[in-house]
Amino acid sequence: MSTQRAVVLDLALENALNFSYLQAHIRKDKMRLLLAPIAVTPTKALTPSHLKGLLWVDVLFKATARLHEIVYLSNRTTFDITSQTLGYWEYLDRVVGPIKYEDCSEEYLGELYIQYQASPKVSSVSLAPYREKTERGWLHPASRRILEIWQGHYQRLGLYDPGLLTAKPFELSIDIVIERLSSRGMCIDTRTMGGSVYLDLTAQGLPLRQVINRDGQDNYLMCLLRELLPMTERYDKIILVCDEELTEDYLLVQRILNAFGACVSRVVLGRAPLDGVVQSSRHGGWQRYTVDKLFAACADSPEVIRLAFRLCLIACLGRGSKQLFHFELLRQCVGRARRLLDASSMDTAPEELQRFLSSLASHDDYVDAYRITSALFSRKHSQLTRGLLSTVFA
Amino acid sequence: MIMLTQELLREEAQRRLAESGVHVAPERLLNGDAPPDLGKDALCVLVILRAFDLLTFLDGTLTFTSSLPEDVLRGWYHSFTRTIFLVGDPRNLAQRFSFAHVTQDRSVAWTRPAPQHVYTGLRRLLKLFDASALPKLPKRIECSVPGNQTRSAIRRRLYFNFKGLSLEEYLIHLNHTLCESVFRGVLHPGDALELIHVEAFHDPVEPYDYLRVHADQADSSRFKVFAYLTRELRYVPE
Repeated sequence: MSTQRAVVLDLALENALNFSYLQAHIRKDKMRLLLAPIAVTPTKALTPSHLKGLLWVDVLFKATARLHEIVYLSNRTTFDITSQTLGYWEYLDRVVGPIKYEDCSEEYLGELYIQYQASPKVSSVSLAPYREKTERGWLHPASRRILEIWQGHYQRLGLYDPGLLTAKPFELSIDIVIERLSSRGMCIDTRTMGGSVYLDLTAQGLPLRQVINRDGQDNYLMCLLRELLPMTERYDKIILVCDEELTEDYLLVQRILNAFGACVSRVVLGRAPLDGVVQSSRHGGWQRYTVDKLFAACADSPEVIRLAFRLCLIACLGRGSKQLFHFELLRQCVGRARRLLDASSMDTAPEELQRFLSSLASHDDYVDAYRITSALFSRKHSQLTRGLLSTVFA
Repeated sequence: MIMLTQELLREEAQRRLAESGVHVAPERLLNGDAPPDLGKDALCVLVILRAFDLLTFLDGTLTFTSSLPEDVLRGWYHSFTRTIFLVGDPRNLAQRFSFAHVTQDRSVAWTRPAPQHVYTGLRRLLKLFDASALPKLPKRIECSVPGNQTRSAIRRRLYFNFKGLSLEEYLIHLNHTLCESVFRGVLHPGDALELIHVEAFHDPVEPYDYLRVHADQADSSRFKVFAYLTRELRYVPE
């Protein structure tokens, strides 16, 4: 190797080291992060797929909160203004009539959702009054009941409740969002011609996506942009969490927020296949897997069960949807959780825990839920177990 | 003077089908039946619109059609001048796709006539233009056919019955009328065209050089004239 080349290589190495030092240094500073997960619409019983998402977000949130300032965004309105939720409420009022929703079980209300999904769809004109009052914060008593039941589940599962019942008005109107997007060539508005409004990222090779249909009905993507566009300047990073099925939509949202200057990460989670099938709650098949049934299958202390759910739904199922969920797996995780809790006698030095969390967040600024949960299985990290159990998995 | 009878309209439709080498009864165009299949090599044009302005559209369509090489134009004409209108922003597509013509304000773009499969990628990115409302149309509007004049310019009127049409349907009929008139040599660069919007045609009509006939959207068992282009106007009768 010639001397000149060696010098160049040395310089390159030095620069690389400087760069990673600089990066590490920057990351040590507290960042302001916004965690914006997709919400489960309150129309059904929580199933392992939903729980996987909720637990994943909870672990990410609690672990990252030890490194950075992180805000967990929760606004019912964004996802209640979807035709499936509004349609469910309209169906209940039209077909089921006034019943004592406060006495209904989550399963019964979930069964009504299946019936609604199998019924002929009504026009968006019939949903317009629901759309209007929902944006003003209204909640149907059936969904209020479901959310109250879920609050109970959150408590049992040790999940942080970011405000399940919170409804906030959007800061931006639809017209302002359209104006802002249009100014960057990211929107096509054909309403004056009796057409739709589309998000346009075709310049980046992404297909047009309708956000307002010909009847003037907007969808959840428009609500999401009304919610998130004002956040681009307030946070150093926005972390979006969505289902695999919505990957394309969330990619659009990510690119739009990027165009407005935001740094955005996208966490995509697969569903938990039940009986070997990945399917939506609207088709049923979840009745044997409700939170009550899952708890009933794990005879142990609440602390053990909470940890077992996390080990099973995060570490065992992983990010995708290939691993099947089954009761035997959950029961095995109960055993693992009990052993972990029993064996975690060694104290964890706080700085060691902090160092470990920082290492997990070195790439994306947030702590990956899979990596931290599966670390509990590793002997290498046994000295961290107690610290992790008393903070992130508390 | 000519009476627009169903027999006359049927003959016109039959002639148009025969020009594309399709020898079926013109009733095939009625009753919402699928149009005759011309095979996978039939040529089609994609028109991509971000917005609609009549004069821009007229000028763009005439410029695009007049600029096509004669053999390409012939192939397209024989494929029923098949055109698919899509929503899209030509400004955002320019880097990935090449267009045969884009309007100056870059609100509308035309692809070269090609078999449909050539445009699979572009079609996947866009949505069908489904605008239901026809904007208020001017009663009369004038334009000229762009391009290099090769004979002395003449003046024609295009009478267009827009009653009951959505914007999408309006564009389809207007597009056929303009493109096919250029192909048939009825419209030449330099010619003046006066588009007159009407809500009905009253028999008898003046002699024409192009007649746009298709199924009546209000009664699909009947043929209807959507537009006709007059012969050269030597004087303007009031």
